[in-house]
Order: sequence, then C-alpha cells, then structure tokens
Amino acid sequence: MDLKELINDCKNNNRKAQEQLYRLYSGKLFAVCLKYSRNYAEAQDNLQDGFLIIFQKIGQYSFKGSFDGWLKRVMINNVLQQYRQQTFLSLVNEDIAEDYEIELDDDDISLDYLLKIIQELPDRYRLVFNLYVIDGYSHAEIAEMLNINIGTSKSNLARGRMILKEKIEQLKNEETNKFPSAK
Amino acid sequence: MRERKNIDRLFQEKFKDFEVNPPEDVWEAIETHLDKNKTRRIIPLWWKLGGIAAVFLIGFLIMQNGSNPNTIPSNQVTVEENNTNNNSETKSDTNIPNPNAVKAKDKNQQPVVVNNNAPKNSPTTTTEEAAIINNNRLQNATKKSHIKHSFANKSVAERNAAKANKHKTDASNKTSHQTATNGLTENNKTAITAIGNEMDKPKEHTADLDRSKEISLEFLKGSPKAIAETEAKTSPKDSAKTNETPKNPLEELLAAKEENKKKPEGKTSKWQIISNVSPVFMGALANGSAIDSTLAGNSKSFNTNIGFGLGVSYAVSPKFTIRTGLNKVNMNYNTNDVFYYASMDTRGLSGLSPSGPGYSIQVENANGPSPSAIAGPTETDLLNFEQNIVHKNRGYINQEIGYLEMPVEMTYALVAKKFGLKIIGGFSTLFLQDNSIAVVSGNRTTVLGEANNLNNIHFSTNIGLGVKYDLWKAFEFHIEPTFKYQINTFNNNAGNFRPYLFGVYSGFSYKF
Repeated sequence: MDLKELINDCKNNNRKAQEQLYRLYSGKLFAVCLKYSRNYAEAQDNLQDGFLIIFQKIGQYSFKGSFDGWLKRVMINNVLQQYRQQTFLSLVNEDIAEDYEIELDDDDISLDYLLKIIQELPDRYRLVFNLYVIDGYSHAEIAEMLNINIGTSKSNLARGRMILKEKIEQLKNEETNKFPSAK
Repeated sequence: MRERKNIDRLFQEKFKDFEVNPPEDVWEAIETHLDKNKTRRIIPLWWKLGGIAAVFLIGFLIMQNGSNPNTIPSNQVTVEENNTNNNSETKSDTNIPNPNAVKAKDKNQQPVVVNNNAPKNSPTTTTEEAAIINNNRLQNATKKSHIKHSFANKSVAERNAAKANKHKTDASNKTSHQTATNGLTENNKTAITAIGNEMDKPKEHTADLDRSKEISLEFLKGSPKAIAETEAKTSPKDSAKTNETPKNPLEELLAAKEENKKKPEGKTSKWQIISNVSPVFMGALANGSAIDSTLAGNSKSFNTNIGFGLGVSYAVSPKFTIRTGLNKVNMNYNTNDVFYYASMDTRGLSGLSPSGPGYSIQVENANGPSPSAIAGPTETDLLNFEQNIVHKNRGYINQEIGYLEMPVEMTYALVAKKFGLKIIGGFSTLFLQDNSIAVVSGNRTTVLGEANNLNNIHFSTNIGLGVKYDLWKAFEFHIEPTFKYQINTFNNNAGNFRPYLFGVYSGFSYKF
C-alpha cells in the first residue's frame, strides 16, 4: 500500500491504517519526543498525545510538502504546547563564551549519554537547542514557536550549549580519571 | 583519534538517524483513546435530527417541483374515470329510448365512425352537439382532476372501471337481446365483437359498447316496431329511477372526495412564518482562552446579547415540523484582569491579528507573571525603573463575534392543543459577520484587531424545548429555550475554549 493511500485511509479513520501509520513512524517520532522531553516517561506521554493529534488533524494534510516533515512538526508543536502551558523559570541573562569547540575522541560518547544530558537541560534551553541545532529551525521561527524574542532564543541556545559542553568535558575527565592508562 | 569538534556537529551527527521504538503499550493507549473518541460522539444525536429534518426539507422541495408532471398522468386517469362514469349513465340510458339518453351516450364515443356507419339517418347534429358537450365535460373533468389527488383517482377509477365492466356485460346482454329481436346490422356486430376482443381496455370497451347501443337505438328509432318492442322491454324499468340511481352515488362520491381533499387543506395550514427575538446567553464548557494561552486562567464574563430572526416551518405531519430561517446572533465576552500598555516591542496575543493601535499595545495577564519574566529579559524589555514609569492600564479584553445563523431544525410536538409543548433538535450553520477584539479600561475602549482563529463558517448543534400558545386562529405565541453547542468555532483548539449559546427564543408565528 503506498503512503498516499495509507494517509487517505487514516483520514477516513480506518483503524488498521492508523496502526500501520503508527508502526511506520513511531520510532522516528518517539526519538523526537525523547529529545524534547525531560525523561522517558514524559516522552511516552508526548508520543501518545502527539499521535492522537496527528490522527485528529491528518485531514488537514493536503499532500503538500513531505509527510515526514508534517508529522514531525505536529509532534514538536504538541510537545511545545505542553511547555507553553507551564510557566518557565525566570532565567538570568549573562555573557556567554562563544566557544562551542570541544576536544573529544571519535565515538567515545554514547548517544544515550548525549540524550541524557539534553533531557537534563532546563526546559527552555532544551527546546531551543533541539529546535535550532538538531531540527534546523531558525531563531526567528523558534521565537515565534515559543512566543519569545529572537534575542532570547539566541541566548537560550548559547546557555544550553555551554551546559552541554561542560557536561561532556566532565564525563571525559571522569573517564580519564577512571582509566589513566588509556591515555 | 582525537579532534576538536563543534558541539553542534557532534549532536547533529549522533542524532541524525536517531530512532527509538516506543514501548508497545503506547499504541494500546492510543487505540483506547481513539475508541473513546468514537463513542464520545453523542452529539450526532442532534446531527441525526437535523439530518432527518434536512432530508424532509429536500424531499419536500423535490416533491414540490415534481408535482407538475404528476398532474398529467392523473388527468388521464380522470378522463378515464369520467368516461366510465358517463358510461354507467349511458348504460342506464340505453334502456330508455330517449333523445337525452342518446346525447348522454354520445359523450363517450367517437361520433364520426358511428354516424357514417349508422344504417339509419341518425341525428348528426345531436352527436356533434354531444361531442361538444362531451368536450366540455372532459375539460371540466380535467379541471377537477387538477384538484384531485392522483392516488384517490386511481383507486376510484379502478372501482369505476370494474363497475363499468359489470354494466358492460349487462348491457351487452341487453344489446344482444335487442339484436336478436331487431336483426343486427353489420355495425352492431362489429361493435359487439369489439367488446369481446378488447376486454382489457375498459374505456374503449365502453366506448364501443355505447356505439353498439346507440346504433341499436338508432335502429330502433327507425323501425317503429322495434321501438315498440324495446319500449315494451325497457318500460318496466323506471327511467327516472335508473337515470338517477347510478348517478347519485358517484356524484356523492366525487363530492365527498373533493370535500375530503379540501378539508385537510383548509384545516391544517402546513406553513408557518416564525419571528423571534431572544436574549442570547453565552458560556463556555471548558476553561481556556481563544485569545492567548497565557489568559486561559483568567476569569471570563459572558455578556447577554439580543438575537433576532425570521423563519419558516413546514408541518410534515401533525406532530413533526421542519423549519429553517435566518437569525442574527452576537456573542460577546470579556477576559478579565489584564494589564495593557503601549510598548515598543510587543509580544502579540496568539489569537489576535492586530490592526491599528493593536500593533503597539502589549497585553499581559494581571494575575500571572509577565511574558518578559517568562521569556527572560531581552534588550528591548523595559528596565526596572522604566517599568515603574510606564502606566499599565488595568482592564479587560472584550471579544465580540457576530454571526448570521441558518438553522435547520426539526420539532416534535408532545402536546399539540391550544397550549403546545415540543422538543426541538437540529443544527445551525453560522457565518461569521463581526469579529473584533478590544481592550477596555474604565469607559475607554481600544480596538486591538480581530481574532485570527475564528472559522468563517462553523456549525452548532441545537436542542431545545418549545412552548406555544394559540392566541387566535393562525397566530400563536412561542417561547423556546434552546441550547446551541458550538462546533469548530475556532480553527485550532484555541486553548480548549468551547463556547455555547443559550437562547430563549420567543415570538409570534403565523400559519398560512
């Protein structure tokens, strides 16, 4: 069955088609949820809510633009919606070192660890970092999506990067301490 | 291998093909939610009612259009009926050798053939005259048939046809008698054979029958002996009686039919014009804000508006009516407790398309933290001392939405006396007319712009209870408290804000 047919069946609320769509895309979209959420359980909730919204709004998808992109956008918006309803912590603006370079060995950092430190970021930093770095949105788009200023988006991104960098360096130091002979 | 890497690139590469299969129970949870959504559609009860109403309406309109072609077949039926009526008259007439009877008889026949074939000098003038009368009669008949219901006609026609057949057999017996006594002409023979052959067409039968009868009569006229004989035969039957007895029941039947037809038309006037004026109360089933998510928690106060409208209703049956019309409805509510002030860099309300001053007015929730506190300070934000200088107006946001409403509703009468009680169900299509958002402080109103999340067309499902009282004849007064749940008012969920309307529609209606 080709994708268009599957989408049309989903538009008609065909349960089989909905399940098939879920099987096709849940892996990709769960990854999105994991990046944008604080932890696994929250990501799971977000995935569930996101798919319900997808099935509800699939009628609006008019086959313009990639379906993958559309799904991802709906899912991201759904996650953002959760945070829009919560109030963010007031964050202090400060000067950020513009050094994003980091010294590391190839393959010496696991994906799990990277995901963990992303999830540990303060909500706003995490969202901005994901949107900008991983999903390629511009600061202007992010500002609109999160209902913030472009400047805020930029400073949030810089703060997020700093925290991530610190954590990666910290990990490396721990590893060098654990295995001094490795060096 | 060591290298210096941009942290962005590190994450981009690692997360490029990042996919994680979610636990199985997520789909199960989604499925149960989808099922719930399906069963949660209780609203379609109203949709169904409305749908039925719409079907009736459409069906009625089609019937109205189709009624003209319908009259044509009914005409034909009545012509037939009339013929058979006349035939039954003529049947009785055959017994009386009477010029009048001849006339009556002639009504049904094609006089040309008869005249030519008549062995004796039949009174051509009479047949012609009769033909004219016949035509007139036919015209009258068709006129009548317009009024008559085709179904009734059919059945009556069938009955008459059956009668005519009976008469015919009687008559043919008689004619054969006559032919036996008088000696048959060729014409009579053919006529009789025609009767025999065309058993399935009562109309033609009777016509042929008449022909044969007439011919025999004419024959009789010519030969005094035969006249005497037939007179002797027929005289026992009272001519006046036989003339009238078959006529009367038929005419009575006709008259009764017409009366029956007229009665329901006169008594139950099916159409009704309805006017109504209503205070419209607005409310919302769920919390939320259609203007901005930050205002979801603010209290809303809904103002009462006056709606008015005009409609027509059609009684499908004494208990069921369908109706439609056009109403003007305005909704209007306030979102309380907001600050607003002029600002260089405004964070617009998400549900607002600003216009004019709306571009430079910053609206904040007076109860919650300001958006700048949420977002973190930026270079364009006011500094602390500036914040103290800026005068923030405290007030409320007023959103006004106006609609033209077209309801399609069905009512069912629980009590249909002088005092009536009915239930109302259906749906409305609402066309957006007015749309504005303004901030109000004291008696100062500043229009910010219009809402950008309202659908131009949306629907509502309606359910209500109606009470009416007949004032006199065709006038009645009604009060109908109706609840109208708004579906898809907003093109996104608008923060879970789901308005409804409650109107007490009251007014007068006139039956016609």
